[in-house]
Amino acid sequence: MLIFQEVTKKYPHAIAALENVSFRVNEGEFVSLVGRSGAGKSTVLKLLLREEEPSEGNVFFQGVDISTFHQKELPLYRRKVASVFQDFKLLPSKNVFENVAFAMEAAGRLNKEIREDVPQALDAVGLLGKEARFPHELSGGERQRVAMARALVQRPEILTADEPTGNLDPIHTWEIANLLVKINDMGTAVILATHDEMVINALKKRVITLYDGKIISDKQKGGYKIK
Amino acid sequence: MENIFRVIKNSWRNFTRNLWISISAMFMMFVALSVIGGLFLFDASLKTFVSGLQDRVDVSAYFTKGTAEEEIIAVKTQLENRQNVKSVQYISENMALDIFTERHKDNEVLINSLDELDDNPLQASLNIRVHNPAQFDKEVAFLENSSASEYIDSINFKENEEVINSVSQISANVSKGGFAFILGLGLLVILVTLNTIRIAIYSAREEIYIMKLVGASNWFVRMPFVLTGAWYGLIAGLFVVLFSYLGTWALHSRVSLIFADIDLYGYLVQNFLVYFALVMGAGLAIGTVSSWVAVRRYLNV
Repeated sequence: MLIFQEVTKKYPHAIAALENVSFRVNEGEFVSLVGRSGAGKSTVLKLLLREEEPSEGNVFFQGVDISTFHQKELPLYRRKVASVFQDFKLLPSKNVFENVAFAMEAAGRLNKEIREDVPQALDAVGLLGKEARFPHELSGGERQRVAMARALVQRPEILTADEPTGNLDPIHTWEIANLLVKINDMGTAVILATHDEMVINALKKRVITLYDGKIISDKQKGGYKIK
Repeated sequence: MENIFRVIKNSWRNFTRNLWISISAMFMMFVALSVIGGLFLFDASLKTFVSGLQDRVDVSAYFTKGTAEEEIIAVKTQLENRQNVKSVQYISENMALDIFTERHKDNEVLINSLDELDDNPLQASLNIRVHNPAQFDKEVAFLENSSASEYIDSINFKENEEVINSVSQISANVSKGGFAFILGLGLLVILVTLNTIRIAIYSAREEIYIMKLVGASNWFVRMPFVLTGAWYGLIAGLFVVLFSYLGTWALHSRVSLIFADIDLYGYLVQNFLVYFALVMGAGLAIGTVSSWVAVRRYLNV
């Protein structure tokens, strides 16, 4: 479904953030990208969302080079690739329901669909009953779950998670990791970028390890190797 | 339909979120639109003034003392038969004296000196009004070439003509200068609005980023900001129309005392739709153009 083909990303006046990176993610697969800060994990996700363009190589989604998408086609593509982040990226002025509904509104979904889908997504992440709370009234774990509910209502084919547990304590980290597995079990491919050793070793899923912008290992049921 | 409603809702949120900045942009727009509306009214009042003057233009033909009344009446009849002549009024020597005495009744020196004279020093005259003031020359030429020319002492119409010409000239100059002023001011307002929208875009950067992430269409992201600029123009325009009404209404009685012909309030009521369309249209155009430029330059989708 997703192919990175000999992708290199160079920023001006800097060394390459990614160098000749190739890998493939199949439908419904769970892949962890691990590596130290600056190893290139976030760059992979940015290229996947087409926030950045590769300096060399190509990224294919469902057989189409995503760099060929016209400005008008890009939103449709981005609806298929949802994201969650370390800093949650919730709107502080909106409550839980509105934060999730906002994503659906922006994607042009009908009010009727919003009324149906938002409670379902909040139920899936265990936040039913907290619709009226604002982000500052929630714990870090709950905020991340709102972000995941927002991603879920997009009904994405891929969910990317960039250090989603980076700001969380161990208990909330497990909640989020379990939720990612649950979403993956529902059929969505998950790409998790993290350097949380405990999570990676517990998941027992495929692990791609990056070091200085290069893939140094790609193993099914891998573990955390960077020391 | 729901999306259009959401875009309008978002545009209004941009407007209220940076309320003070919005107010300053609207104030600038208010000034620019007031100048546009003010020039429209100024132009109209000058035109009314000029046409009032033209209406009052008449040619006075003064007859030498002692000319028989029959001769003068004969000239009057000839003139009345001419196509361009609207009316001809005969003022006899005695009537001229009465008018002069009435007009200067408060001026004792004049009245006393008039009493010192044995004879009435004033001449009989014909006051001629025409349909088309531009063709006064023809009527003057007719009098000068007619058989009555030997009785005619002088023909007077030049003074009014000069006033008319100078007022028309002022009107043309004000229109030209006003247009240049509006262009300059318009540019300034566009710059202010452009920067206001830029701040609105900056304030909403988180929302814009999330919108992009979840696949909002370019139209859905951009249009609220373009509409926010339109709000500035429309609201400022409404205030200009409102203040124009209140202002002209307040000045109504005072101006009428000085210039009987000029009734700006009446003119505004009569031409409400044109004035409303002009001010609102200009506001909408300035607001939309500047916000469109800001969105194209500063909002990457």
